[in-house]
Amino acid sequence: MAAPESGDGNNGAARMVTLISSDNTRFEVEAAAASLSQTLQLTILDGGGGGGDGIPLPNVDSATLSKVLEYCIKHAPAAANGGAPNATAVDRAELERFDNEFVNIDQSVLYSLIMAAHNLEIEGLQSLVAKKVADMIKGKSPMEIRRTLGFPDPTPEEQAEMNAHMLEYGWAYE
Amino acid sequence: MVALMQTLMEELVEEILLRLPPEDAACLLRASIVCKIWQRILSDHAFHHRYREFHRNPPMLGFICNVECANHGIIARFVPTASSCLPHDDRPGWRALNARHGRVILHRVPKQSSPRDNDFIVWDPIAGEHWELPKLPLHPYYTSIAEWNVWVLCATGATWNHLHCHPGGHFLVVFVGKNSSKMFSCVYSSQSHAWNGT
Repeated sequence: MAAPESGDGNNGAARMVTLISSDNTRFEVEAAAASLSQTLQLTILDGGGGGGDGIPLPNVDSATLSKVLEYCIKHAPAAANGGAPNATAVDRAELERFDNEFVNIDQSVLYSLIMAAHNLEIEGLQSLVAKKVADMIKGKSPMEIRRTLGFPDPTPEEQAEMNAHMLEYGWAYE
Repeated sequence: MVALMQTLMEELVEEILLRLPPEDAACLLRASIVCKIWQRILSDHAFHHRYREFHRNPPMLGFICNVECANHGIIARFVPTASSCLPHDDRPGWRALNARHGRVILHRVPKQSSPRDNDFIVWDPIAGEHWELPKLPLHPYYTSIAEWNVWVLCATGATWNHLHCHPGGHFLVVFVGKNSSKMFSCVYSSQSHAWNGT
């Protein structure tokens, strides 16, 4: 059985892989971090991404990939511990602080991130961004939600539906 | 600015809506009118199942109490406890006996009399619906019944946790009474809309 080793035999140094963004920027990153992506994990387990090859990611631009990798590098140690059941409270608090700050970003970046997390199957990141957008929605009226998310103005028909909804469910708007 | 979020694939919109807080029912209700896609997702049974799976511990939306009142004698009252939640709801003249899986069994006694004279309704205060039950079947023990009680149960709970029961599903009402020597029970099924006594 020629199962791929986690190290590359280079004196125990972590195995590195190269990822290539849609705009041809190369990112060298530890395989353990890149493996937070289910998609990349399969390629890496097959021995891909090492040496000069690199794994092309035609759907992710360099700005987004850089951000995605920032998340992966931070979360890799905890993920390696199987969700870090023995992580200290300090470690967990630090990750939480990182996550909160990480998604404190422009909406267009949130959009790119959730799309990338979906494409690359990074469950934790997708969940983090989805929660952030849900937090942006809660407590708002339908019209405020539309404005917050940059939806175009409602059609007269949509506006009439919203007004009728507000009349029927007044308690939900107090 | 391009409405990026509006172009988000439905699968991801669902991931976002899934994370709206269950203790704030109004939030889900308001989100349902934002646009057609959101409306479709939020009214889909598959989404309801996922939402209940995701938020395993159901939030406390409110409680039921019986309030004494000079005009009506008794009022079964739903008191919402979640912030920005459902309105108060009163059922004057009715007394709540017990509740399970979101349904409450209420009864009304016209006067001091046998259990057969009782009117029962099953009330869903969250959906704002109620179902009237037919009179209990005739039985010779009624006049001598000293103690009795009724319970409302979900009838669609194929699973023990009732995660997948949905409003409008069928329910059972169990009536048990006893006199000094015998017990009597009967079961009402919303499916047949009838009592079956033993």
